[in-house]
Amino acid sequence: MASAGSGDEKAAAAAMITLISSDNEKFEVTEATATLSQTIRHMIEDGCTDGGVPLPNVTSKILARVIEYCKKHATAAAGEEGSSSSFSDAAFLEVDRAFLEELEEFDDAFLEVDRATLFDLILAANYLDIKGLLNLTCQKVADSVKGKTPEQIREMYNIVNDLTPEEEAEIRRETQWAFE
Amino acid sequence: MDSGADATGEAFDGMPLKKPRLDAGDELPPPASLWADIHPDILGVVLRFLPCSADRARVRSVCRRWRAAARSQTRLPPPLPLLVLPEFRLSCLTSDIELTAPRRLLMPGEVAVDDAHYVGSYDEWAVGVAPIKVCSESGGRDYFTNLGRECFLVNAFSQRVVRLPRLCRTSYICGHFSCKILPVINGSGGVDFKINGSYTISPHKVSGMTSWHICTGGRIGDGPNLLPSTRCVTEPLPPLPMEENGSLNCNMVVWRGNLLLVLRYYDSSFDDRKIEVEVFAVDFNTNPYGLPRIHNFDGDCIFIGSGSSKPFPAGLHDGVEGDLIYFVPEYWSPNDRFVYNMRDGTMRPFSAKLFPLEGCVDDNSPVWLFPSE
Repeated sequence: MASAGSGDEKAAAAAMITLISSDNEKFEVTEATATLSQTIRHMIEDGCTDGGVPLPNVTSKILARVIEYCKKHATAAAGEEGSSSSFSDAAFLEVDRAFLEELEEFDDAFLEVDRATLFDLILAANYLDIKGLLNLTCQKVADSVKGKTPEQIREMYNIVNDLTPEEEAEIRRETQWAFE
Repeated sequence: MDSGADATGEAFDGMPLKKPRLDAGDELPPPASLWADIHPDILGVVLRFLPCSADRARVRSVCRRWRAAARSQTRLPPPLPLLVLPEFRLSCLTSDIELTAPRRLLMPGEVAVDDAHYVGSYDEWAVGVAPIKVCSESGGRDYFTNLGRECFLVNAFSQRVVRLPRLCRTSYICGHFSCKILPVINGSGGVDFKINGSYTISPHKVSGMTSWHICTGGRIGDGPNLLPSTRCVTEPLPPLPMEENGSLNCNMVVWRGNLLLVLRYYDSSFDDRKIEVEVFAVDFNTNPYGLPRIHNFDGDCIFIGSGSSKPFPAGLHDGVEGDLIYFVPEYWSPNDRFVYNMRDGTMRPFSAKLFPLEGCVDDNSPVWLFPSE
């Protein structure tokens, strides 16, 4: 809060934050990009970002992707700079339609990843509390299981069926309409 | 297993740990168990993007952890409704306005399966009607009476059957011209299933009021019985948009505390019948009650069926279109199978493949079912 209290808005806007991945790689990002993460926003508000923010749950490979997402989406929110410090969904609505379309294309391309990366992105989005990224990645999972049988889902996500025959029979009895 | 659980557990601590994880290899794919061990809250976000109840059911049956995680989600919006088709076949509505292939449910043996049909629903319970089976006292074969029918509730999840008290009154004039009054379901009063020569009646009730029904000319009357003398309490409807010898079909729906009147007007031609839809919300502040027309449901959808017209909060689901009315065949409108868009007045056909027999709905009108999970 000390730096924000100085009243020097330009300095605050240009403030850079250093993020440190689990494998000790350092990433310099603007505060606007970093605060798409509620976790980091709270740390900035608490004034504990001097010397960098260690993110022990996020590898450099994943952090680079997350930053790529935040940069793009922070630019979208920047159109509303000054009106509000929170990049809410409502703020996005005001942004030019063309840019929203571009953002959608970016999101689609961003999701072109293998399942292992998708998994890590979900964990990172959850840990960093980036709502937009968590929704985006979870929707990708949801879309992939639509219309699929439990066996197909297990295959897709490498999951072992550990349900007992009794449990499986119970599930099938309860939701007969959902199965072949 | 444990390490996987810990990794996701850390993710929810909110603050990073002091020590960086040393074993974080970027090149390796996650071990097989990682997806199985995904945090319940994350699976909850995934489930929120699955409005079709069949998809949710399949996710619940992937593995034990997913099942427990899915079960622990208490704040998910309800899934899209199911449709109960004849012979207790169920079909799920999907987010792209289609129905899944119907599956026949195993019917409990307690009721006369072959002759049962479904006339209404309450949450996960379908209301069925079956002929009363009478055991022959002389040791001969059991037989069905033609004196009346018994009603039962059957749960689409557990297949539990609750037999209802015999109908208080059943009067057959012929076939479908009947009046049935059931003391049912959640204690909020009686539910009337009435079909008379003119209009179908939805079994709903506005709290704190007497039961409502539609009387001649599409006006709404109060009072428990559908008698010619029942007083109508609403202002007359605006002039019908169709020519004089067309026909009218009315349904009542309770939507967010409002009593809605859903009208379908048909022109008089048999082939390529023209239909128009109008919706009115009863205004209780005037005398007689006003009938202002409405043009949206604030993002909700309305599902019309002969025994179970109900609204659904489509707006809670991402990618599910709102402000639609779903019409499926009913006895008095056996050819209706379309979705009406309240905002622009357009209609599109709805799952025509599932209702191939024009005019053969008979007692077996499909019934909407609204499960909570």
